[in-house]
Amino acid sequence: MLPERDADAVLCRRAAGGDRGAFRLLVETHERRLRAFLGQLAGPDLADELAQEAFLKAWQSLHGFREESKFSSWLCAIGWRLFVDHKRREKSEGRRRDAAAELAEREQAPTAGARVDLARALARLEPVEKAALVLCDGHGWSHEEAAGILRLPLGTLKGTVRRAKQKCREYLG
Amino acid sequence: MDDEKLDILLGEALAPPEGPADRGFVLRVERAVAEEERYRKWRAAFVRQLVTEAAALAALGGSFALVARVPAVEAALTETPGLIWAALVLLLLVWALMRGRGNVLA
Repeated sequence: MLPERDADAVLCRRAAGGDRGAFRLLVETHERRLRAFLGQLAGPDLADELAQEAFLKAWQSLHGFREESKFSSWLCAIGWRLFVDHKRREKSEGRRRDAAAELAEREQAPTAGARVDLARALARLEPVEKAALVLCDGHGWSHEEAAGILRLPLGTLKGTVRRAKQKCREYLG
Repeated sequence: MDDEKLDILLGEALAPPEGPADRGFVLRVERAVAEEERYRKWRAAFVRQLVTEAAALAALGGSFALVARVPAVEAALTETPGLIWAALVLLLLVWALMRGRGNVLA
């Protein structure tokens, strides 16, 4: 059996040649991780929409996929860019806060004896901080890979992860 | 909260779910890809047809212009301006016939 990266590379080549069956296998292999990543950032409904768009963009751009990167990180990077574009559009429409952040704000901050609520702490992070945490601490990407996905210099990515953890620690007490 | 405990908590909370692919979602993506492919083919056919028809019309127009320079034809056209309109109608008919036979967009 081929390692995942090689199997993906074979499927990518076939899909780039118009093989929709090969592309379906790629979708089946990677949809959970992509939707989970986007779900942490945008909530489940929007995540599905963005994930579908990401797969469609991947299908359209498979010819430009360079095999020195993993298909999964390339796909994740597409999803991240779509999310950033969505946030930008949302901002220009005047809706500055995402639903998760608003929900967290409406709820009371935890008191000293309150139950630890990581979800609330995460909802207070900036999207890029949350994305960096999800990729590095949740999905197991290396700092280098996460920096590539989020298009950040490595030092900036490391600083972002550190800052995000610090914020969580402060919130959780 | 110490670093180790936070890392464990984050790892548990942010880990991607395990399990088989979501068939409904995969189907949605498949449909979107099929739709995209249909549109891409339609667009390619549209551009091809547009270019072919433009080239054919240019060729016909050029032929008419050349023929119109023949002294006898030029004289006839000067005497009977209606001939130009007849030629244009003929050109339009030829184009309509070509379009009817080779329309890939229908």
